[in-house]
Amino acid sequence: MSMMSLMTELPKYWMDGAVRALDGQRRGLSDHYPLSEDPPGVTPYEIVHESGKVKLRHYAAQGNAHRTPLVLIYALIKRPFILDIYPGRSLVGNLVRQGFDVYLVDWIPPSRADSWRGFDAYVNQDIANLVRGVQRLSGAPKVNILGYCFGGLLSLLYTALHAENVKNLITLTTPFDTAVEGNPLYNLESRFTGQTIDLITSVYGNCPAWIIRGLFTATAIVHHAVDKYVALYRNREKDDYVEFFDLFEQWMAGDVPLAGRIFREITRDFFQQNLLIKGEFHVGGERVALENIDCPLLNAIGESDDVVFPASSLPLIDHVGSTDKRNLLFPSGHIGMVVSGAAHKHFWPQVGAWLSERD
Amino acid sequence: MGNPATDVDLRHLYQALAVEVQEVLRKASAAGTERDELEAAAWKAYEAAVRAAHASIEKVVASPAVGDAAAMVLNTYLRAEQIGNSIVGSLFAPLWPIVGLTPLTETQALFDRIESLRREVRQIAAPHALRPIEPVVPPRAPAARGRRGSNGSAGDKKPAPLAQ
Repeated sequence: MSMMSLMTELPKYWMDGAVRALDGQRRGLSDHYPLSEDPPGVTPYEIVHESGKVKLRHYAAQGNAHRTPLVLIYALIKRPFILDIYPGRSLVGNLVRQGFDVYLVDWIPPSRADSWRGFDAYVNQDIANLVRGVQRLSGAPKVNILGYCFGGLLSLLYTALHAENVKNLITLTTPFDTAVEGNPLYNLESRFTGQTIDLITSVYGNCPAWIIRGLFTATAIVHHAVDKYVALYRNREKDDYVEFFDLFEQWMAGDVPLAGRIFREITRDFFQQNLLIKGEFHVGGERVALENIDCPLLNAIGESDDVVFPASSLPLIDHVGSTDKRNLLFPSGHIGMVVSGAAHKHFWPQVGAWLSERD
Repeated sequence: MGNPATDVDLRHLYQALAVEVQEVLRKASAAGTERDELEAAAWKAYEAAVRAAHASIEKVVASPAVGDAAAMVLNTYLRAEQIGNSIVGSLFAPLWPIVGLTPLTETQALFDRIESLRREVRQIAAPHALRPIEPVVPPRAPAARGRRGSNGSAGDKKPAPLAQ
């Protein structure tokens, strides 16, 4: 490999990256997000329910299924195909092979007409409806919930408000304490004034995808501008690397808008005022009492997560009422927790075993 | 990084970078250094540079001054867009009916109404029994590959068809 050929390849990679970014921008600006442009995934599923702003996908367990179905709650700010993106890197595939009946919450990106949607609509309507649906469909009285990132926050709120329906809760790279210092994402979120939030929602209705993308890009500028392309160059002979890179970058460029009301609530109440850890967070007028969470809790954390710092997630277990609870740290970053080969080989079997022991 | 970089962390990262750069220079100037050896040293220096740059930029972006500046730029942009939208709206809105066209807002409202009616119909048709309403089989059957993730399995490689 020569440095000279790197210099000739980089502009091409940047050009491809620019095309992907513009494509992502086009999708994000569309008032009805083109869901059909998502890559198809690698694990078969069927859509078993659709209501509100959510579709529920069912991935059937392979082999002897565990009794309790697993509901996977994804974040609201990107598309969930990262969870089933590539053979050997599919979290959904990993879980179904471990015998879990997986129900994936596929959020439908909001249009301008959905700007009224806040935590109440997503938690007390959408998640509550689909959990009821899973209970009816599977016959299980309770479900296991696994929430990833922002989805972990939604899972936490749902479990606190509807504890009777949850058998086990897994929060994966979930932001909790937003007063941790030195986090670029939290810093930028906390600098949005009331005027900024009002302007965003009055001009766009929702928080547009490009603002969300800008926030995340700012957390890893060197990676997005140079390093990922250099890594691609260094691995360009590996077909699977190049193919995975394309899919992964499509996901990275696939930010979706965040409904205006929930954007306001998460920015002001969660990031700026840190109300959840203070026990003062409200959803639909009801206080979120984390001490109501009495089911087993596994709080999974990426040791080198630079989106949600471990220090932000670690305190969570001190605020729930569960007696069976633990933090599980794994040496990986925010997204590596769901797509890295190491996580699939060493981390997810541990999670599967933890769930199996509590089935 | 996963944790906020302290000044000490940054100093260590730049010291490590200096060591790697010196090593590259030493190898480049020494007679008889193999090309591969020099490239390996250069990549190590590159990696050290990326680590140092990433930590430095992260620290800058996490500073209150940068956050305030970003918010100010965003506010200015949004205010300009708001004013622009108002001007365009007030100038052009009266023109559409004159040429016999429906304003965008009304078309959009119609689309939203159609979408909401479609949802109501689907919910009336399918929801209570929670029957599958859109069976999906991934059309992209992954091709067999020599190199694969460590826990790739038969289930991943070739999805079984869905039982309808």
